[in-house]
Amino acid sequence: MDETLISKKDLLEETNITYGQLYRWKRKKLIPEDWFIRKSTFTGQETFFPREKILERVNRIKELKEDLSLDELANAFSPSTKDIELSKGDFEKHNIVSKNTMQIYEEQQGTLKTITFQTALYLYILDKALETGEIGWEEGKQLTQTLSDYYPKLEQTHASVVVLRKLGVASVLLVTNASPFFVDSKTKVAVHLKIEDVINEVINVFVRSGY
Amino acid sequence: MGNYAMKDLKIVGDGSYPGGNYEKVAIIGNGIVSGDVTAGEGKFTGSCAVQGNASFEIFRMVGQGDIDGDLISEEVKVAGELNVKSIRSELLKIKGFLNSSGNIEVEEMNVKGGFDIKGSLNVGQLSVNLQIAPSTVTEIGGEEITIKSRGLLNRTYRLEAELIEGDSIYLEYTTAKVVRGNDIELGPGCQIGLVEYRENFENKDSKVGDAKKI
Repeated sequence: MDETLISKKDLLEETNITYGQLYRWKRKKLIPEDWFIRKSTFTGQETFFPREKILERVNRIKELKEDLSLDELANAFSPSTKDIELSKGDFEKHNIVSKNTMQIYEEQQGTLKTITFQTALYLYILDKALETGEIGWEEGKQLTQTLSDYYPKLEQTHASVVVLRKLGVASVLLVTNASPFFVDSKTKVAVHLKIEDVINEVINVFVRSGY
Repeated sequence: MGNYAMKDLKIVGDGSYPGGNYEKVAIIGNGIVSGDVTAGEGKFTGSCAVQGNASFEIFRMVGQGDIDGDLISEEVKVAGELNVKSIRSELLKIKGFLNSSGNIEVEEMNVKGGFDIKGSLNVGQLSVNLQIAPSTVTEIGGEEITIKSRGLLNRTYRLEAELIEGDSIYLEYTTAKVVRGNDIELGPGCQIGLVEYRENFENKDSKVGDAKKI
């Protein structure tokens, strides 16, 4: 059996949760639909999960559910988390992104007064992309533009940001995770970030900063 | 669409009207909404159809209803027959029959009658009294699941399912390949291939292929 997957039965045993909890969390969108993988086994159909992701998520839910209601949690895990809003000063105080990133973003999108979760996410993605050293100022702007234009349309789907470079020209792509993609040999994948992972990091940062 | 905001849509008699944003959608008679519709309240009486997705806060229906797309609501109350692609709601109450080609996700579901759900049913509290006709569902997952068949004149109807999983499960007149849960109780008339339970298992008068404590 595939080692990166875990069956539902093993998951419940390992994390000590019940069927009811698992189904409730699924209804509340705490666990994404596309993590439920159906496979035929000798006992009929069984459900499997990506092992690492689900274990991490379940443990996080168990940790956080003491302090937060399920709906608040759902907001925290949903890519369209909208309720959080910080003042720019507070945001900068926590050193979540570099000054450079902030500058590029503001040049593109206008000066920020408050920072929503969405904005924080864009900033964080931009910051990570710049950190790789693969993209420059102008391309950062391109990336920001793409995110703010198209990411809201994706809503709940799990997507990746990809920056491709060919002959010195960069293109920004926003792709859903459902299928892998391949590029020709002259094209270089400069940046490839899973938005889901970034969201998790941003949430971590926010939680650590007490929001 | 913005121009329609906060207006009511009323159809009395025969009529076909476009979808959009409304405060209230009321149909009496034979009405068709020819597109996606969003409203605070939806009230259908007679034979009604939505040719798209429907999103309400409260949805009440008497008679026959067809929703080609997804139904999203806080509260759904149906007396009659509802055909829908999928439902997401806090509360779902049905007296009659529900046909769904996709998944049903509700916190509390109350059925007096039956259903044919091609997808999976994910529900917090499920209480079903099987009547009218046989019911089928691919999969039920939830917390408290109660399936009974108590009708007039001692007529019983059956539920057929592939898989039922829940914390506490009580079943009557149900055929299922696999039933898994913490506490499982089988009343009369069940035929279950495999039962897997964590705490308690009680079998009053049913056929079980194999029962395992996990």
